[in-house]
Amino acid sequence: MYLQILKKDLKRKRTMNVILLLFIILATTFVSSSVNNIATVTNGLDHFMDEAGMSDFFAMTLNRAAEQDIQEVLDSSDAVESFGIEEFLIKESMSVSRQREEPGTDATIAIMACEDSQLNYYDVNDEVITSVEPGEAYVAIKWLEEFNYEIGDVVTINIGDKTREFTIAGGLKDVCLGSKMMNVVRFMVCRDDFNYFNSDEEIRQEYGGKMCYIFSGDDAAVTNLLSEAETGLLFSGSKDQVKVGYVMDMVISGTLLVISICLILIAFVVLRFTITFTLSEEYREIGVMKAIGIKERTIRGLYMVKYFALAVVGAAVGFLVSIPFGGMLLETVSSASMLGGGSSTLINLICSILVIVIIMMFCFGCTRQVQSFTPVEAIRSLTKGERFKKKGFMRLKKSSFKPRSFLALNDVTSSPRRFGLIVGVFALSLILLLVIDSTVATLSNSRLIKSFGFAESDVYMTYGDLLNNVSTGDGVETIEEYLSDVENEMAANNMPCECYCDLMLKLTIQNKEGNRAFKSVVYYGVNTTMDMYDYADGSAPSNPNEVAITPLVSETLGVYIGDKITIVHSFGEEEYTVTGYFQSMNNLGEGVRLHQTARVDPSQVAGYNAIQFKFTDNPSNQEIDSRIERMKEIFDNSKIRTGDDYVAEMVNVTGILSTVSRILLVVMVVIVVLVTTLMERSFSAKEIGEIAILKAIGFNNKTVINWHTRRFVIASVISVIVALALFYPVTIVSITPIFKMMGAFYGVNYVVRPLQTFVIYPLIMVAVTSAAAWGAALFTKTITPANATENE
Amino acid sequence: MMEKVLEVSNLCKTYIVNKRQNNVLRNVNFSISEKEMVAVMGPSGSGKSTLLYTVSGMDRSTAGQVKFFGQNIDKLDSKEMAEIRLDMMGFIFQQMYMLKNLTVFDNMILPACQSKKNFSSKQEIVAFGQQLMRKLGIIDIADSDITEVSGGQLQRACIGRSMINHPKMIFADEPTGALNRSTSDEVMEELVKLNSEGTTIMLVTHDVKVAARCTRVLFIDDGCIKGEKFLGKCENVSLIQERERALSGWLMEMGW
Repeated sequence: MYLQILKKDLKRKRTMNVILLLFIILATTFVSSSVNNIATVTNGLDHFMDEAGMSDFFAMTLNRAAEQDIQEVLDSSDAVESFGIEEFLIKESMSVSRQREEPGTDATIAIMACEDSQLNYYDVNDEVITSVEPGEAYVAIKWLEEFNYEIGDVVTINIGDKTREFTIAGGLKDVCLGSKMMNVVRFMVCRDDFNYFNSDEEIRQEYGGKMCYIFSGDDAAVTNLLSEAETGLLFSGSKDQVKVGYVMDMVISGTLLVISICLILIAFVVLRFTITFTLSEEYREIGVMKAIGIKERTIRGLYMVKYFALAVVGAAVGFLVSIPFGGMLLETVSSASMLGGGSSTLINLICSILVIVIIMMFCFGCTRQVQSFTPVEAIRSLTKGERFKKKGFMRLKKSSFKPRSFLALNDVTSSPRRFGLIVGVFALSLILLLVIDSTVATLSNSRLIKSFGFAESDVYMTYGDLLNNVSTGDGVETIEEYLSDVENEMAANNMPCECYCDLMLKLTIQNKEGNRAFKSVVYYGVNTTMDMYDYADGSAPSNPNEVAITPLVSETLGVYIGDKITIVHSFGEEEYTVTGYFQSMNNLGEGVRLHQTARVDPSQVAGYNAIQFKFTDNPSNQEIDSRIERMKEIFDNSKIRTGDDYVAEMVNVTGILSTVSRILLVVMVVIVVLVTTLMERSFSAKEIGEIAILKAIGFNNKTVINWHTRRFVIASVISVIVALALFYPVTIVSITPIFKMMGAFYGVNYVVRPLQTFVIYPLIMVAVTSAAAWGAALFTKTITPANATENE
Repeated sequence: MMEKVLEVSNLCKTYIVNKRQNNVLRNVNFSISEKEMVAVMGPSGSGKSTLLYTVSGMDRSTAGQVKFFGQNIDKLDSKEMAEIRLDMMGFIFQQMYMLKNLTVFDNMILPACQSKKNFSSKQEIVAFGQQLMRKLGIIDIADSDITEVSGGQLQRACIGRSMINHPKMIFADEPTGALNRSTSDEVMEELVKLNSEGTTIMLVTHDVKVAARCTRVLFIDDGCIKGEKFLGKCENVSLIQERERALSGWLMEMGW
């Protein structure tokens, strides 16, 4: 009997059943793929670290700055349980040309021999790379993707006076240097090719270094060991600090998690609404069945069987769709790392079963409510599936709207739960998009340079040989002369400007008591003044014996404004008074700023920010762009860009975040189209009688379609208003902690792109809603005045 | 000579159900003149309601012609037909169909707000709507929700809605079918009054008492008009019972 009734019911109420089925498919797809993604992303990094065999501590040293061999230092320490060393050659801003039409790119390349590998490095198929053919190279995936290199591309590597061509054999997943924050690209070749460069003593001394993977149960002891030794330390950090390097990757993963959670919420809310909505259609029938004496358990069983059948079919389809859908979402984060812990179809299967269980629970709850009604109540009071109460507050007689607009507005205000759900879903989708868009805008805006602890300027130039000039020439004076030459050259070309540069030294700093010490980045500006930087608290250093520090340094050393710190230079220890705090997202928040007249040893300079140009004639943005093109010719340097581009390059994730933002836009459009279409079809299926009455009293098709479309347009406009009101606080609450992890302890000023935020995205939302609602409302054309009798 | 409001000739309506042809109306011919009040009677399934819906343009005919004030409504597109329904026709259904999100008054004036022809301002619509409600004796329920009032009151509001655009003709499908006797009498009273004021009415009913108030009765069976009875205007209320008896007798002759 059940099957007979089920067959007839499915046929008779085809529209509502199809709508419910679609929502079940949608819910299963979202839930399965999202839960799988959550499992994958949350376990991903730990899984990657474990599989790659990442050590407890990581250090990079440079031969040119080393007085002690790191291997000897580690060997002699009791704190070190074991360690492995990879030799490498590193060159900043190496020009990597390729034999294709596209221009080459500059990058900081670290070349190593595959045979020296201390970690597991994976190819794109997550297979460990065990050998590299001569003349071939595996290169970090992040770089290949960013600069559009392909397998088979031939690239030319030039170090010192040696040059060799390599064919790219594939991408390399590198847990240690693979994060977006690490601006070093690992270039893995065979030992013979590596020795071709490394066998040259001059090259080894100038560009060589060691990557040390240290296993130790005592991070603090290793930190002290490395800060005390003169090993030419370029970078050191614990496993956790290496993990923090993935913070921007985590932003993307986090975004994916938020999207997934929102999709799950949307799926279940909409599903519950649809089940309640479709079940309310059945009240009358339930009443009739009760009246003729069918037992309640039997009645309930009938509906449970029906919804179970729908749930099974919907969940099965949703399960199949969720596999490619989840893969598509994950693709944005999985390409450069080896995510694990999830991505199994078992999770999708479990989630699909869970959806069936939840649907049955919803149905059980809804049918239980029916149990309490008498047959008369079920037939009379609940024929429309709702208890009558005072409807909307709007009155046509007082309204100046035309009927179609009035009816639409009145429907929205009379059914706040129904349309509130739609507004909520739409607003949530738009908020997600706006939060990411604002984050992308912030991460590619020149204003952010101050959050890195640097001064702002109009143009930024990276110059590969600058460091060599500093360390091998007369130091700071060489840079001052160079900057002065550049200023003159610029003035001669009618581009008057001031040039300045921030040098970075890696020096040991300690508190006055000497009981807390670590190696930190120390900033020293050439041609800058202290007022060009931002300070969060206190004041700028005003003489050579004063410094500003970051909150991280303050916390690590336990020193505050007014306290003294000691910096260990090659020429001896110097004591400084802390006058203020500044924030820097460079090196995850560590940093000390010296006064511009302080003494430093140029040979200890480990890096520099960029050569910065501040035009003195206030050119327009368009003029700056044009000047950049001329500067590229004058200095024969392609690495000259605006502040926005420079920040985007420093942060190194704007590209992928933009991709996430585009995916979110597509997800938003899909959600809006699906929810609008399915809701409109649900509503109009239930309103056939009302539509027929309107047609009977003279409303034409166009007016009815307009009325239905406008309801959704109103809902989308409200959701836009809600989203615009909430997205900024949501951005602050959700994104600021990530910036804090990166070192911006005092937060950042978020950038809002007015055109995208207030015009383009809201317009897309309203336009897509209108189009979807209009398309779905075309169904009402099939309703004739004669259908008025179907009102009941 | 009264003007012909509705002229129906050779009207056929066929439904195809499960590949089987069901001829609901077969070559129906009749006409209704201005100020007439015509009742259509017949056994269940005889095609009464289908006839009403087809001649009023709410449903399309399969063959034949329906002229409304000389205009062939089958030739009109849905937009033109909607305009005619809005400005020249009124409809009353057996069930009191109204939009559940509107008050009784708003439901009543909705067609007037949609029409651009009959009123120059919203104030005028509201004033006329209130006047109609007073006339129908339901002014007290103007601001009530449709769920807060009785069936009789609601049906009177439906009559008000059908009258709001000063229609030339009202079509009513069993307007008293869902009402008790006293409410039914009240509603019929209103319809007779409307007719006496010049509105042409065509209604479908099972109720001899209702039909007895009309000027003419058409008897339909098996999709064909089998006969018609002229009753004339019901000028004197005391004669109603006599009209009912005469009508009952005629209906029995027709095989009802």
